[in-house]
Amino acid sequence: MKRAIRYLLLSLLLVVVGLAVHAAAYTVAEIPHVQLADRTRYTANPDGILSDDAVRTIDFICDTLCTGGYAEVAVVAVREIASDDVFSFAIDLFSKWGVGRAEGDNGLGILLVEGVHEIRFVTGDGLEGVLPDAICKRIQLQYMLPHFREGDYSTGMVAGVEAVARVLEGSESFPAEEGENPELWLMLIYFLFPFIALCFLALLRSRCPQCGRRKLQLVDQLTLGHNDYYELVEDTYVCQKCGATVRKRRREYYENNSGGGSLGGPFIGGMGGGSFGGGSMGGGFGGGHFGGGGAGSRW
Amino acid sequence: MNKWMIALGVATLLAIFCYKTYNGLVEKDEAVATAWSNVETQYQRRADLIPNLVNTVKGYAAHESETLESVIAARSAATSINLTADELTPEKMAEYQAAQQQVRSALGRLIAIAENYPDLKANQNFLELQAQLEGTENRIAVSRKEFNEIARTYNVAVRRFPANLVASIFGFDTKAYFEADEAAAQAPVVQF
Repeated sequence: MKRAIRYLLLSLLLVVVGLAVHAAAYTVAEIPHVQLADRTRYTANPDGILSDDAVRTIDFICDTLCTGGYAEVAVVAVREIASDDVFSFAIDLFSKWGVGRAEGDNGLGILLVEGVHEIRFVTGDGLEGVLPDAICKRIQLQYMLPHFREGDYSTGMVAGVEAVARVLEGSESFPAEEGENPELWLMLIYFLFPFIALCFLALLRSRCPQCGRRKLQLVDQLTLGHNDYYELVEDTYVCQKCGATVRKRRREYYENNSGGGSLGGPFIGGMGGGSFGGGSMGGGFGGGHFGGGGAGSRW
Repeated sequence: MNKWMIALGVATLLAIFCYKTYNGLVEKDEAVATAWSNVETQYQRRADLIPNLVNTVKGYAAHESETLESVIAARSAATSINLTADELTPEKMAEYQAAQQQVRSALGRLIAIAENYPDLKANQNFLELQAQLEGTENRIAVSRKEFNEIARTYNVAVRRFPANLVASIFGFDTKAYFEADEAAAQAPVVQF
C-alpha cells in the first residue's frame, strides 16, 4: 500500500515536472502582458532572467520614453519560445500587444530568448527613421552582446535600453495633443476625475489582494528614477493580517510642473499632485503596427 | 397595379444589393492595391541596397566578379517586372516571385563569400548594410504575409454567393497569393 502511494506520488511529480518543462517554452499568448495590469510596467520577465533591479531600471526608462512621447517600448526576456523563428514570434507578440501609438506606429519590441542565444528588436514604421536597422544592430553589438556572452543579461539589457533611449531622446518628440480648447463639460470631468480617482485609489490601495482586508502597511519606498516631470516610486506594503508583501508603483509629479505641456497625462499628475499622482492603474499599449523593421543578433 | 408595385420593390432591393456589394468590393480591392504597393516598396528597398552592397564587396573581393555580376543581373531582371494590383494573375505572380527569388539567392551567395574575407566581414559599412539587408528581407516577409491576408479577404468576398454575381458583372477577378517558396520562409541567416 505504502509503495503504491509512493509510486503514485512519484508519477504525479513526474507529470508536474513534465508540465513545468513544457510550460517553459512560451507561446505568444502565454507571455504575461504586464503593461495591461500596471501601466508603469514594460518588462515581462517570467523566468527571472533579468534581476529585479534591472527590471526596475528598464521600466523607468521605458516609462519616461512613453510619457515623453518618444516611443512605446516593451521588453520581454524568456528562456524558450514555442517557435523556431524568433523574428516572427516577436512580430506576432508585439503586434498582438499593439506596442506603439496607432497613429504614429512608434513601438519598439525587444525580445531576448536565452535558450537560442538571440536578441531581437522590432521597430514600428514610425520609429524606423529615428532608429534604423543599422543603429539597432550597432546597439546590440556594442552594448548588449558583450554582456550576454558572459551570461550577464541584466547589465546587457539595461545598457541596450539606455542606448536606445539616448538615440530616441536625441530626436524630436512627437508633438503632444494641444491647441483646441476643451469643452466646458470636459473641463468639469478633468477637475472631478482626480478626486474620484483619488478616493477610488485610496480604497483600492489599502486593501490586501490576498486576504482582502484593509491591513496594508507601508514599509518601504524605493525611487526607481526621476526625470524632468516626475519620480517613479515603488511602495512596498506588508499586510498585517496575512503577512503578504505587495509592491505598488506610482508616478509622483513635481508640484511646480512647468513642462507639463509635452506630457501624456499632465492633468491627473498636476492636479492629483503629491502622493497619489496617477497611480499604478492598468494600461495597455496604443495599438501600433510592425512592418518588419529592426535587427537581430546572436551570440 | 399591385404586381407593378411588387416588381418595383424587388428591383429596388436588387439595386440596393448591387450598390452595397459593389462598394464593398471596391473597398477591398483598394486594400489589396495598398498591400501590393507595400510589397513592391519593400522589394524596391532591397533593390536600392544592392549597388551600395556590391560596391562595398568589390573593394575587398574584386575577383569574385561572377557572383557580383549575378547579383546585378538578377536585380535588373527583377526591377524590369512591374505588376499593378489589377494584373495579379497566378502566372504573372509566379514570374514576379521567381525573379525576386533570383535576387534573393544571388544575395545569399554574395553574403556567403564575405565569410572568406575577414577584412570585409569586419568592415563597419558592410556590417550595417548586412543589418539593413536582413531588415529588408524581414519587411518583405511581413508585407507578403499581410498582402496574402488581405487578398484572401478580397477573394472570399469575390467568390461568395451571391456577391460573385455582382463581381463577375463588374469584372472583379480573384488575386493570386504569394506562395511560400522553400527559401523565402526565412530571412538569410547572418551569423557574426
